[in-house]
Amino acid sequence: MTIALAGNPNVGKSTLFNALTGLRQHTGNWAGKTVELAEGTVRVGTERHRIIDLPGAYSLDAHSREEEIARECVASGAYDCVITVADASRPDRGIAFALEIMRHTNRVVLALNMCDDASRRGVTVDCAKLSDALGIPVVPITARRRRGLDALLNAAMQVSARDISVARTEYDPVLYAEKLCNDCVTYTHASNARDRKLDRVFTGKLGYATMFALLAVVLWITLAGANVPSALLSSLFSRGNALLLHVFDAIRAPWWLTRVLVDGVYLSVTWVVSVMLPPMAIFFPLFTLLEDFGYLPRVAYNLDRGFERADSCGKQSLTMCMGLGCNACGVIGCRIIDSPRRKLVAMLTNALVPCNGRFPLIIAMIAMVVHAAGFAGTVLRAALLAAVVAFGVVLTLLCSKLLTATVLRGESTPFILELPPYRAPRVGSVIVRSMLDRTLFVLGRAVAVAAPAGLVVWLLANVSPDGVSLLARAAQFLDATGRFFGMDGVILLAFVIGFPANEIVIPALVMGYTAGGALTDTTLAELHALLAAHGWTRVTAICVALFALAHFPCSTTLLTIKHETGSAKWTALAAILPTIVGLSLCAAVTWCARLLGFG
Amino acid sequence: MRKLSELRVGEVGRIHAVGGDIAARLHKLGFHGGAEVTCEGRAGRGSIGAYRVRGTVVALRRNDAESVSLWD
Repeated sequence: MTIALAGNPNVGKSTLFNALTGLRQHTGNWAGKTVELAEGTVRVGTERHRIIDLPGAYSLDAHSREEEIARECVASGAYDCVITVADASRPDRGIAFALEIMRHTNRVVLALNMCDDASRRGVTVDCAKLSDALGIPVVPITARRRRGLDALLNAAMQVSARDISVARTEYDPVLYAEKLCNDCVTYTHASNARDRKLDRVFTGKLGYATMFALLAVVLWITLAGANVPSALLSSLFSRGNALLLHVFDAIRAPWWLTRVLVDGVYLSVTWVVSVMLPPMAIFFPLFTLLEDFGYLPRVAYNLDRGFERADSCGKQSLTMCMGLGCNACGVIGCRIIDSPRRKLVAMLTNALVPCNGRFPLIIAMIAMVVHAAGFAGTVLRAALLAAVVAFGVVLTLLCSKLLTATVLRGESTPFILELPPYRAPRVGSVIVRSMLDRTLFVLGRAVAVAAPAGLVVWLLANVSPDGVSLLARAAQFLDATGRFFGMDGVILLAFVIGFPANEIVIPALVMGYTAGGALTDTTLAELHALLAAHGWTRVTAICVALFALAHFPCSTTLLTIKHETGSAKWTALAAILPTIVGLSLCAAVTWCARLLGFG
Repeated sequence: MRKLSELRVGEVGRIHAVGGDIAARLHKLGFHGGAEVTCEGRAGRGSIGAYRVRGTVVALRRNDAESVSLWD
């Protein structure tokens, strides 16, 4: 048997899907989370049934890609019944949607989700009365606490046995749903007073200040919290290094094999793990908590003026926030933007917001500029990192404007953004989900790239025809260009080597400077000493940070853009645009600094 | 006749009619003639507003909110 799961956005449909199937389809409190169909199975008794999760839609009118998919699926009749989900604290929209579905089938169950939340908000729905009026079962559930799921599945089994008949009705679903709600729903007190209070803090006049403060606090917790586990991992790995050398010695491995594996592969992989894992394991859960809480649509609301002036879609804020985790994910997220022109704008500019893989590099550069130790130092560095991210947002807006004013001109389309009710995030499940789904996924990908890249870089650094290594030759070739932009040949080469994954820029730098040798300990202090020994100044660090913020996106992101746009031309522009921006910024900083007598 | 974009923050109005390209989409969100609407706030120096109809809060840009007229 096949069950189709339908409903408006922001009603906990993905949560119900996960509760039923035990899968971990990503959920989030904002419209457009599920653009494609997800599938899973649920066990009822001894039987397994298929569940198709339709994208969240406000109607079947096909005003957006999500609605088109939902409409096609509902109209196809390729299911035995439809469970349509509504938010119990504001059931009008969900009932109207159920009425639309009932124009296609009578095998429908209405699930009133988040009943616990509704009763807290003083909303009571008379399910029996509503069920009589609609002619379909109405089941109260709380998906996140797995309440009412058995009753829901039973109701689904019952309606699946119905003879198919479709009521030809003339009424307007929206108006009729409101009439039904007037009859069946009682409100005991102002149901949204708390949301209004929260919105006064998170949006409006305080919006920008709160947003920057939240970003800085999240980054501060990330930086401060990551120090200890990073140091621990790093010392653990350097012991592993010694151990590995002993082992290779004991088995009499040839020296080159030992070095290529230990100094090349092992160094890269352990660097990526010790530098990336702790901040990611802190940042992703915090970010997911905010997402669960319902904060992301508020970011879009706050920043909308900027995006409107850049003639881009307001939903671009959401894809930008996703890019903060991983740019490739951000590019895929651009599917939520309906206008093809604005979707392209969002995809081409996504990499201007630094992803998690670039954070360690930018953090290391900030730490080179601001050495101050202790609490004040961490706060200052977190604020600077937040400022770098904010600068990335400014660059995104400027580049979006540039694109919409030149190659992507067109008509503006209306923008409707729902601001969903705030919800208390589920701390436990958020941590588990973000660790398993995001952190380990991104880390796994980085490690998979770091290992072969470490090998290649080591070989480049150690294969020396005529006594000069390939790496040194390439660096020499790029050196003049690099210096013009306030960097040097090794730095540019490290960025080129970091093309598969930006996480390996620092290990590549280290190998470039030590000619294939390795640091005994992967601490920031030692890194800074090495960089300073190769002529780095604060201006160099600033330029590298700027170039890290704005340069060609990593190969994964570019492949995703190629896949999503199907165009080599747009993919090329996505690589060229941020590179030009970054190099211009570096040149400006360098030449200003030189004129003023620094660096 | 006033427009939705002219509703002051905290003020409640009654919708007269919805025009423009987004009429059908707004109708599905409960924005139809006769519906009561509250302006919950504005951001970006008034370029976008948050409007509540029957428990659902929707943010609209000024030019989109201009296509909704209110009873005086």
